[in-house]
Amino acid sequence: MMDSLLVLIPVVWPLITAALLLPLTGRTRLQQAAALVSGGVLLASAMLLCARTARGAILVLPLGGWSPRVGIVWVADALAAVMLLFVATVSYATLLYAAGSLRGERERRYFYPLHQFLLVGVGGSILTGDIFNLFVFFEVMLLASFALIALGGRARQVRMGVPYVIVNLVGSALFLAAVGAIYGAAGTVNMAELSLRAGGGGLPGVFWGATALVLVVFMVKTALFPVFAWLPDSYPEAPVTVNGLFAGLLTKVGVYTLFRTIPLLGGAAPGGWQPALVAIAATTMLVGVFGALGRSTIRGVLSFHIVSQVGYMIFGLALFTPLALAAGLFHTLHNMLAKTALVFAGGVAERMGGSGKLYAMRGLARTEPWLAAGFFVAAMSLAGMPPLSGFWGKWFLVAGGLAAGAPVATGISLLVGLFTLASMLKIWNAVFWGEPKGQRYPGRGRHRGMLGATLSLAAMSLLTGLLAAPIFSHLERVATQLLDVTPYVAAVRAAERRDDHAEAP
Amino acid sequence: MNSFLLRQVARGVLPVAVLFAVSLLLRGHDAPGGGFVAGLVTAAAVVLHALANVAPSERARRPRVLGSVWLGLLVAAGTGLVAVAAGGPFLTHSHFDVGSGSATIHLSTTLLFDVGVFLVVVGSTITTLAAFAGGENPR
Repeated sequence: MMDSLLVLIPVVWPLITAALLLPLTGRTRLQQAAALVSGGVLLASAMLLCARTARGAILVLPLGGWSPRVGIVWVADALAAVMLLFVATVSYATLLYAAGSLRGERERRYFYPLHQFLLVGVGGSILTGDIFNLFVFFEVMLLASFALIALGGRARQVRMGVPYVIVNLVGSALFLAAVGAIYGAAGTVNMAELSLRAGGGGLPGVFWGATALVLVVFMVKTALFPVFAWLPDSYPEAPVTVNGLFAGLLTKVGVYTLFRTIPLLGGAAPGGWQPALVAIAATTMLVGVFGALGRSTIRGVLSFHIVSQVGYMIFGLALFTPLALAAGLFHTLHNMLAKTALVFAGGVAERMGGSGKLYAMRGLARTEPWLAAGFFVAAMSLAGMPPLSGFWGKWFLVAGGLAAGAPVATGISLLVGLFTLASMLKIWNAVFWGEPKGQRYPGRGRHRGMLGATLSLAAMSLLTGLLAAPIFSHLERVATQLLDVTPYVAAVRAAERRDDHAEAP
Repeated sequence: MNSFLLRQVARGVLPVAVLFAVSLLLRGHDAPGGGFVAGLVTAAAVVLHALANVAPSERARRPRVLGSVWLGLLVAAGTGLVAVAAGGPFLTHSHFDVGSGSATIHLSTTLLFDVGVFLVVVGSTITTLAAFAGGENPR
């Protein structure tokens, strides 16, 4: 009972919250208060789920009592739990930030219910045990994100948002077609069953073709090279709160789906995918960081950096050893905190200067030391300075990369770290350093919620760095379980046997 | 559009469409149909009615059907949670046979779930289309 509740809450609780927030439309303060209470419950349940799965337990919930062979299962293992915990954390910080940051009735009116719908999609994508429902929850997430990215409806914002919508719609259509082909070839869409059948061999080429197509779609959602171009132009145009939320959650859900599916199928897949993925990851790091250096607005630089950082995470996955996989996961979690903190700090600066252009306004370190501290910690963390979380993410990755015999890509990751530092210093110099000037609306940026959210995320990045050893050893266990595959498959199949006697109308 | 013919057609279509939607909703558990399709049919009928009988300037005003969305969500989620409260998995449904012999009617809580879906689809479709009808242009 308790177990099934823990698996239910990440999806059903935000759904109920959204339903309850809708009648409060127009009463924004009440909505925010209710969303914070609901977010607290979500956070607490994610912590419980982490504790419950920490020792390797895998919770399987067959919906409606149907056998996983024909029905829908939600599966919570340690990986899903830890992702849900960080999702709940970032989403809570976003709620704190939203009150001060959203501008006017047009941005505020539907933000809180849409935020909950996005969480439904994210939670479902993380928990689902079959690829068809992964498609469904992706759609839930995307529908909410389409509305969020255009929130406020400025003409330029809508224009820049259109490529985001088109790319994702095309991606979804390909995804659905590929899922159909997989079902036709393998006779199931359940991921545990697919892993079993792929391991048994004898699946036709269509199956692997369709699987490759699914992975390409995940790469689009993750913004990997060469399918990242939808991200850097659309994110900076969205409201800051939405930009921060997307930076923390959306591409990371893409990363998660790759971490979920590739170990399940990778062992049996035709060779050659691994070096290809390493090359893609390394190119993504490079392209992302150079793109970021070329941008001239605060959030423009930060958003292009999302692309570069995703490269690190996938680099860890592509090496396919427990050490490297755990390093990729560590980097993912670190990034969810640090990147959102940076976007939030950048958003406050943008508000105070009345523009996001670099050098439009300077000297924030003098006038707003706390905000500057929040930005600095998160920026140095992203650049990989010890003892912050980003340092450990890169440290473990380098160790994993060298151990797995990928010196070139490892070298690239170190080089990209230098350029990351350069681009962070570029923002620091342009916005925070120097004599105060151009701070046209200092009052607009001074909001307890905005500062609190930024500082808490930066502090958590610091804390993750200080607690790197225990966190990493936990993630190593997660990675080992993930690469082992059998516990996951066995847990889902055990649920089949348990429920075969259940009523199936 | 101010058209006598369209108004007459809309007047005839609305009740037929609603009846059709109800039948789709009721048969949905065992045959093609269900809350989603029924909701779309209803929304299409309402939109036709609005096109025929409501002046364009009025159409742009926000229709008050958001209640249908959240009510539907609560109904659908609620039917799933009843089973959880009883100790079963989420979305487990119960089935009953009412009557006997040839007069038996098969009822199940999936119908309630479908009613929830129906309400969500009607509310969200109409809200979305009304937003496109004019009032919500991007600035």
